Amino acid sequence: MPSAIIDPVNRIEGHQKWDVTVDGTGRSTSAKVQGMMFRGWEKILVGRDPRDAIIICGRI
Amino acid sequence: MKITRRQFLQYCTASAAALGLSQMDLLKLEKALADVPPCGCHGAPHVIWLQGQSCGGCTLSILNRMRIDADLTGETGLGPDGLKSWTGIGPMGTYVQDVVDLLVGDAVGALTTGVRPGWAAFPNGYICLDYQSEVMAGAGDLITDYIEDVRNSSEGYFVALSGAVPLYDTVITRPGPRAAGVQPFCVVGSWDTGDGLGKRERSITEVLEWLAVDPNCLGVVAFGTCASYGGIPAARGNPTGATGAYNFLVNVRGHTGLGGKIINVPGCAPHPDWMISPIAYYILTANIPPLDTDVDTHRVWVRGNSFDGPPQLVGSVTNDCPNNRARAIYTGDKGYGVFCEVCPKYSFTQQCTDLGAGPGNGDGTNQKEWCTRPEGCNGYMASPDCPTRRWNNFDDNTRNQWCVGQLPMGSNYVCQGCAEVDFPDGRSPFFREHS
Repeated sequence: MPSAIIDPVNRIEGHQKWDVTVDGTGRSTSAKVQGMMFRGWEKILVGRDPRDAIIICGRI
Repeated sequence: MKITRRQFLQYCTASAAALGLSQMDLLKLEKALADVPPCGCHGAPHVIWLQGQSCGGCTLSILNRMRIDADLTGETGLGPDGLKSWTGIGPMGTYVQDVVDLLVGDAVGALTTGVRPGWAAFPNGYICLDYQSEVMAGAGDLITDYIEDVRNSSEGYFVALSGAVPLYDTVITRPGPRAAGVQPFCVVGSWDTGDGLGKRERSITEVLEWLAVDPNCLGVVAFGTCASYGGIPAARGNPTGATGAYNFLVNVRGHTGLGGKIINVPGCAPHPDWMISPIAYYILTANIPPLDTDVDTHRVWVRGNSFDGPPQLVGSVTNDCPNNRARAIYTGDKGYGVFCEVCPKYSFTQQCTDLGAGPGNGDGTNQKEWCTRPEGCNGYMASPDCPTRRWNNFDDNTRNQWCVGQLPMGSNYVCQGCAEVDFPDGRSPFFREHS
């Protein structure tokens, strides 16, 4: 079944991939939007002064 | 590389449906291309801007650099004489400022409008911003094919990186979109890096190294603290092993020969002047700009001769501050300023019309503290020239700060030390007096 993959997606902030599969009639049988990046903000914040979140979370 | 009109039209035809271009539109595009020089001629360096583990702030900072004059005409808003409608303001001097305007306005203008505006008659004064995922017109194979061609050609290019590089990414070696058990933390698209595995998901680690080691790579510009030193993704507790471009390429991957070609432009986000400066310097001189001699920072020297230095002390008055902190008060050529002995580069600027009195009513009432170091200001040790250069693109005398500075010129905030090597862990906890 034909599929279209757009990777990377442009004009967005961040990393994304689109993956669409269509059947013979042109109907999509699968459509995936995948986020392709991870940093772990929740783990970075653990154990810090809570007010540090003001500085750190602004950069998410 | 000299992309021919035919090649470009082939790219466009392949994506005509996505672009919504009809046959008539394609003919108009062909005519427009006939009027402008093809990409990469006159020795204009390509710039391939990759995003690592980034927040997008560096891109936003550079996009803030542009300001449109009131006398706009035409659909693209560029005016009848091309780029003249884009203005940039700042203390960098007219000559270099022209380059800044040309670079940012032209490059981003080309990408967002799809039609490259007329080149201004400025020798060597432009770049080819081929890849910038937040503003570029191409997506998927359309753009990765083109960048692979650029890399495999003999034309020089810069790699710009914003965002950190996750060392815990493993190279995807098995066929298929993603190998089971492999956990890439930062995939930047489907690329063919010539390793025989074809076009597949690639981590930033692969693409960055693949582009940087080529002899045609003129330099790696690391935008932002994340790409320079790791930044916030590399803070204590991070699960991805994030690090900066210099550490990744030189120390981890062992490309010591690249060390002299990596330019760090730290800041979170860096000031657009700092970001443009190494590329403008290269365009003007065909050389990498001078960098800090401290190899740990490898930082472009943003307080060099072409930038304003600290304001001269003019008519300084030494007067004891009511709070026993500020020791010298002056009105400099910037209109106002407070020079505090505790902070050798002064942590904020304060409008002062009544020498000897603090801010407030001028009669000793309603005074505020002048120095915010007890509240955690890192201005006493911060490297960049934020107090003089200021932020947010206003006229020199009204330039606001996004962070430091007393109201109304600033945000009444403390300096976070966001351009330092140890940001954020070395500056954390942020709201306490630093020794």
